[in-house]
Amino acid sequence: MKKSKYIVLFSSLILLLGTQVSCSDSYLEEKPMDKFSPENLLTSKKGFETVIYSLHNFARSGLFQSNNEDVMNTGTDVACSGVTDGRFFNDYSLILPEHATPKFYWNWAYQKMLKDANLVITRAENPNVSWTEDEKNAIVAEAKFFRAYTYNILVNLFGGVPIVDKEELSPRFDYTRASRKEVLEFIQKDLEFAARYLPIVTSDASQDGRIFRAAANHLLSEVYISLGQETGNQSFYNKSIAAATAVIDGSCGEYALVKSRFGDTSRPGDYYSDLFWTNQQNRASGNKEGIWVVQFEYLTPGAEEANNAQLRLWGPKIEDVTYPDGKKILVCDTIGRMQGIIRPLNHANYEIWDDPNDMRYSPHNFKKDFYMNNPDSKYNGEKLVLTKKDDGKMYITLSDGTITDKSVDTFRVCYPYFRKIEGEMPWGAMAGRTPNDRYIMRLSETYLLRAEAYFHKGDLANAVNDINVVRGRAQAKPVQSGQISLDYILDERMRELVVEEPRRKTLVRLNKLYERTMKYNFRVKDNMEPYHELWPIPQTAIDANTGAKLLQNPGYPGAAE
Amino acid sequence: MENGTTNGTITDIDGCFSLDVADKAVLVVSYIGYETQTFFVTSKNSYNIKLVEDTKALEEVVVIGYGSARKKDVTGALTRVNVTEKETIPNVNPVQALRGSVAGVRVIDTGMAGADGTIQVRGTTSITASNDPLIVLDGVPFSGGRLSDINTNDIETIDVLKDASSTAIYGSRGANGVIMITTKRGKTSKPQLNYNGYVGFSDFANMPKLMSGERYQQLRKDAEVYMNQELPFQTIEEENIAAGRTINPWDVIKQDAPMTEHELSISGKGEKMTYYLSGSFTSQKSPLVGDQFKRLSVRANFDLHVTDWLEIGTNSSFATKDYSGAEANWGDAARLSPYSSIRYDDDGTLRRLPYGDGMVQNPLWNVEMKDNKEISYGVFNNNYMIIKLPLKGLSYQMNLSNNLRFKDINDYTPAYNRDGSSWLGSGSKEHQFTHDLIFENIVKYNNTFAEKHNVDVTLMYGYEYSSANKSKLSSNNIFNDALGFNGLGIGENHTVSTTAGKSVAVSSMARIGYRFADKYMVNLTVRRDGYSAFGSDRKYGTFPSIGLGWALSQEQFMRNISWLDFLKLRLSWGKNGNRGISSYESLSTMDLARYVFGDGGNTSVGLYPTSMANPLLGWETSQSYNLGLDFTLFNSRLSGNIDLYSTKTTDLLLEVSIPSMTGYDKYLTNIGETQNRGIELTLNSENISTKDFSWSTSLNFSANANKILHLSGEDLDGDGKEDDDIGKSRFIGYSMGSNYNYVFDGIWQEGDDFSIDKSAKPGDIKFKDISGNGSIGPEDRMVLHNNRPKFTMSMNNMFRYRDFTLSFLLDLRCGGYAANNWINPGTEYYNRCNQLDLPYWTPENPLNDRPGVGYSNPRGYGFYEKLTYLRLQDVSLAYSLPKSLIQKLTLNNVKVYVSGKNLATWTGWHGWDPEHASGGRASKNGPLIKSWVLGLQISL
Repeated sequence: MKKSKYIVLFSSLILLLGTQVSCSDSYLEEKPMDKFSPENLLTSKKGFETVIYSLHNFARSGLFQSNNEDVMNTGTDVACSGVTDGRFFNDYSLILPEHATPKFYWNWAYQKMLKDANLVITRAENPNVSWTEDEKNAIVAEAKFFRAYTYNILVNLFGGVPIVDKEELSPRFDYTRASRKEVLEFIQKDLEFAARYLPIVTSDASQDGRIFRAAANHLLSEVYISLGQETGNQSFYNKSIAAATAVIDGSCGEYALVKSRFGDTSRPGDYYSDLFWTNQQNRASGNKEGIWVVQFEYLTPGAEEANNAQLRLWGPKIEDVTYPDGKKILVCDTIGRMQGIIRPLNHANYEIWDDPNDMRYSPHNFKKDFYMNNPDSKYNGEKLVLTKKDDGKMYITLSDGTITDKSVDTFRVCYPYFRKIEGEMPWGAMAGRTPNDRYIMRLSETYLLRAEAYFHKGDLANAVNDINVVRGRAQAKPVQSGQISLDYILDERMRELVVEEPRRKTLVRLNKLYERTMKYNFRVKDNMEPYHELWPIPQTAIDANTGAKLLQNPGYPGAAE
Repeated sequence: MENGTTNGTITDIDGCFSLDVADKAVLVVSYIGYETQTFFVTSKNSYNIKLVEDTKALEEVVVIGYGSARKKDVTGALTRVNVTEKETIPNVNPVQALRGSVAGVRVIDTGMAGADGTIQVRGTTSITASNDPLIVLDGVPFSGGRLSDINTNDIETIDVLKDASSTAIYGSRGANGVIMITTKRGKTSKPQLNYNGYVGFSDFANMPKLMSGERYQQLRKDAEVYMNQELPFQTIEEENIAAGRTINPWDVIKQDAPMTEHELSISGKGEKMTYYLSGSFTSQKSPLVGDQFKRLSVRANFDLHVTDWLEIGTNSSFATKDYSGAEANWGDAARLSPYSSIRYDDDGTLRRLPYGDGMVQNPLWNVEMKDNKEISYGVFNNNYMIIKLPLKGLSYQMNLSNNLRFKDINDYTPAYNRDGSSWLGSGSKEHQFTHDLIFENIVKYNNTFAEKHNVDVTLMYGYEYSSANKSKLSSNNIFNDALGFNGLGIGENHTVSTTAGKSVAVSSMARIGYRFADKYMVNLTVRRDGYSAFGSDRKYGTFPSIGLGWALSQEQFMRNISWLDFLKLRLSWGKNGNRGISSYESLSTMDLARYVFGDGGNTSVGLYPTSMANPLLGWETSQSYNLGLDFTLFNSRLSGNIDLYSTKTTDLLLEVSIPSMTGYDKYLTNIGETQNRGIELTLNSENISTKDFSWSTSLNFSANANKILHLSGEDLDGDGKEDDDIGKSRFIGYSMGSNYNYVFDGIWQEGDDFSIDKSAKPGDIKFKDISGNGSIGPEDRMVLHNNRPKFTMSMNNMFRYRDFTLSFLLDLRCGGYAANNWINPGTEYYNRCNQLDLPYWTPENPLNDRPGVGYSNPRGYGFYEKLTYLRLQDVSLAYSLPKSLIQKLTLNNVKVYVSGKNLATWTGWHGWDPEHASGGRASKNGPLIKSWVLGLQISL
């Protein structure tokens, strides 16, 4: 009897617990209190714009892997690395599927740019978003521009790559590589959409840095050339010419080459040098040449965390020049701290300059002379002159003609440099950084792209005309049609776009990387092979893609034999 | 033994003894394993003394979840740590008291002052989710609290629940083991006042050896040859080389490191109440410049027996922890040229770049140039009420734990302008607020029927709530530093960030225990948990367990074995969970990426998703078996236990590698299965026990073997085997923490045939062509080893001679390899900074085990080193003043002690300490602390 009493008691208690549990479902529901998710953010134009802003941020962060390298230029016909131990593409045999650089660009493309662009493009089709058709098209056009821009980089580094055209909502393991042609056609479609729906450029200073219709056409003119070369279909060159013309003739808004001084004219300089000084890249400064300018700023959150390190990368490590009294040239207000990481080759520094009056080679744009500036040194004020001795090394020579026994490394420490990299140094000269905005697309390149299209088409006269527009602006003597070749166009691009242009991408686009790098870059002569034209697919991407074989590029470990 | 004198004797083999004593003497009779008896000597000349077996060790009550039990009735694997035995060791954080004390528990000390370290119970079951055990303080989960919030001297005992049947009552939080901490309570009717204090100092325990000035110069010469380029020293270095001045970087980041603790407590027991009040102050400077820890804590424990049927009590504490000050950067110190100048000669201020290389900032820079204030406050309030219901053995208990934690972090960097570096002031202020609430209703029933049948039932329903809020504001371009971080308003570019989160859990639990004649025991538990952070489809989980015990020594047939005091066999099975994910992890969330359009424009706030949503994210479930044997032998001179266990964890919360083409390279999901199998052995032995001298040893040994049984469960590559996750180095059939890489095969020498590796040059590492296809490629990688210990063992010896006690604890970790890139100068800026003092290949010195100076490691080889080490961890020498002396001073006990921690380490590992095995120079964890203290305990 007693026992049954307990049983009743316990069973009622257990029942009580059971009922409490079943009532509790509602308070386990989770609603994020402080975090946005695509579901609650992408409901209006404003929400979609936040993703576009992050795409701008990522496009900027993809310009350089770190402040210590710019592999778009080292290991090409423009530059090698001043760091001589094989890093930074001085030794192509080290470029293996495990290498950090291909992985960086691959992950940058897929995990940042393409993911976010696809997020916008996919979710824009949600019928519940409150926006007008025009607003939607403008947003999608900007996202498609970034998607195309990214695939165009991938295809010119790795060759054909997997095409991901929508937001992936769950893991997938079966990606395969599309062909180069398929990728280019995909880019073409995106850009044609973008060229139709992106806005015309405005004079609104708060829009500086945004993507306008001209940017899509500029990129289209390049991609049509690639398609022409890939398919052999000549009509693509006409399309390319038309796209470039749309930028040049003003139908995408007013763009013009700078031909007179502007901005801070109190600086000694010429109008070409004005193009590159701090805060003179945007339209608000009166510069109508920039088509897409990536933004940097001092101290403003969202702009300063990715400061422009071109000064540090491209300039000589002049602080290591030591005079016989042991004193060195000092980093100062006019010489920022440069590290000689990207060392332009003789071809870029000397061989391409066919006209001494070319403004782009003037002392305002190309610095050849350095002076001892250390007030503690008795040599203060001496011009740095070097003389080669029998041992092949360069020795400091004094103004009285004495050749001292202090040698200077002309590879990393003392070489002339392009002054495009100079600017204000608000973080201090030691930081080696400027807040200079960076051109991704500039009108003079549009002329050169159109010239290239004319050249591929066989219309040398028009090609020469366009090249001479660019040369004429720099007061260089005109080129004759008999001198024109693809290599000449590439040299002209170097004269006009050195430092700005991701050279590797241009050379791969024209299948010229191996040929021209072997010709002009002495560092890689013993280690570059034809298969280095393309980068290896990162091993991490191959390893994770278990559902299908992601083929490695030929020549690299793991490639099909 | 005559009480109060040194007059004594021992018995012969037959147990006879004789002793001449004074009139009315008090005789004390003692023997190991038997209770000590005291009796008055009368006029009789001979006595027949019958010793009574001392069963205290077995009657010991241990803390199990939601209650306590006699140790001999327990069916699971649990170990008790008597913290009071360690009170002469300077354990600033209670976690240090567990280090090397419990078989199967691995505590990793990370070295910083007041650091919490990490605790692993029986290896790690989870690959991605938290492996931290649950901490239960005075019976209630210490939700959100850190062990550093607790003053070690307030702790009476720590019980570690290791097997699934013990931890299953904590259901979804039990899979990583449970650490039950019980604080002190009053015990004696006479109020007892205790003082315990120590002063001491610390130093670095085990520092890597860097190159001397000479070797550094040689390194640079070799680097010049390697690079075929001049690599001049910086101006500062040249001056110091000329003047013959060198620095020792470890001295640069070393400070005088005093440590002190003072604790005062009063405790007692009245007719209707017990009380324990304490206050303590701890101040520790670590030898690392700028690193310090201060704690002020008070505790009040009360138990009030209001009536026969009602008991109310509280266990509450308040602690303030101060971690202020930026500490020196050991990564930068390890890079410093031996020819650096830390300060300017003229005014003694710090040089930002001690030898002019932009990569190496002064390791003291943040210490002196940044103002940092980091203080946290924690109020931990546990209240309970027990009502005895009008039925014998039935009671109701309510627990309410209400914890608040605040934390303020303030930072300020003042303006600077010297040597080409300039900036204006910038700073930030951050405030965090956390609230945790636990409410538990417990019904207990315990009764014995017919003398032999004992029934013990516990039912619980609980609700748990946790919320966290954080706000941070910052600004820069502050033109006046006078107000520091309190003057953020005058700066520019104000940014504000706020976060908030909430999680809720509900649980119900039932436990039924049955015991027959103290011989056979059965414990059954079941718990059902719901947790808000899990995916919408998997909020609930159910976790059962069963434990069986058989006290063999109680059986008739074993009673006659004279050397066997106690023997019990335990077998248990249980299922429990790991909910180690935080709020919102099952959702796709977004992060900030800002941009600015136009020169001088405003910030545009961008957002982008950082993870893929997974609505199916749920519990990890572990199922484990435990077979244990408890024994006490030779009149309690040798006791211990052996446990064998096997745990399978399924539905792992696994961050799997996915192709980056998806937009993400990892994805959190519940797949896969791991297994942990291990053995634990604990032995306590009284080796020698005489009147004046005793020696006891305790030893614990544990070995755990981990194996991944399943991962995705899919065979997408079609090779007939389930796919490995190469990206995360997870391989089916191998342990977690596996090192997957190429196989080291010596160093390429000049004249070798380089055809299998086109990228190689003399001085590079030669790898084995495993696949035999004539060239080195990804197919030549394999699982080399893993970073788990083969076994760990620790041994504590305690010697007592009269009033002196000496103890020392040795800790051994054996086996395991971890990557240590620091040992390869080629990827550690061999041309710019200092390196570990290790040999490297040169054409003149063609080593076959280390590559040349600039080896760029193009295939990302791991540079593995063995993690085995032996450490003299705790040493203590204590002296208790003779009773006769202190009684005159009306004191109860006075003890003076000297003790040390981490005094010596023997290892072949070349990086920072092998205990945390952080490979690389600028790793998260750096030097470990060695300390010496002199302490005093007084009680009256």
